[in-house]
Amino acid sequence: MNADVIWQIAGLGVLIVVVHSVIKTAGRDELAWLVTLAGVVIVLWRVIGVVNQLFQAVRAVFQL
Amino acid sequence: MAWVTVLALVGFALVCLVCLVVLRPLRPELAVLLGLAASALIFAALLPRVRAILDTLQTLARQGGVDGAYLGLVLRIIGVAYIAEFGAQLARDAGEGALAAKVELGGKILILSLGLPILLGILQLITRLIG
Repeated sequence: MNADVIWQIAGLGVLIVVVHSVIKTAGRDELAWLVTLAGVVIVLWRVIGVVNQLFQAVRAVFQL
Repeated sequence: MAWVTVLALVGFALVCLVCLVVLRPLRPELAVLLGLAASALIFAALLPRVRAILDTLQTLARQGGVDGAYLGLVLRIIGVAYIAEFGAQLARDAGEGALAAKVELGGKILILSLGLPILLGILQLITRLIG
């Protein structure tokens, strides 16, 4: 139950928001949205890894 | 030493709660992902205990002479219920009540289809006893 993943995701989220607002103030709105999307994809990739781990463990325990 | 894991569990849940509350107004979709990761981690942390419980139940049932096939089926049904509830609760958390209801419906149907052999076995047992 280590919270590393939680810190990574929360940190990435805050980073995304900051970068998004910085780029938006620079006037490049569409680039800001692309950066946000890239950040969300990275977080999604990390979360899918965690969920996959969980599903493999559940399959082992419950012989699904 | 069970109180250690309860403290760790609640501590971990509080940490996730704070991160979620911070993240939700800024980036709602990331908050949903964070909630998914947090509940998956807590779920995974509880699995060794669930396995221990299931193992003791199996040994008890085996001593009681219950047929092994039904045991595997009951195990699988518990697993389906476990995961269906996990998914449905997450969908409801993200505000998608309809999606949650569909996941629960799917879980119920799967459990019903898994449970049919048990039902047939019991019916055969009863007819044999009566006949």
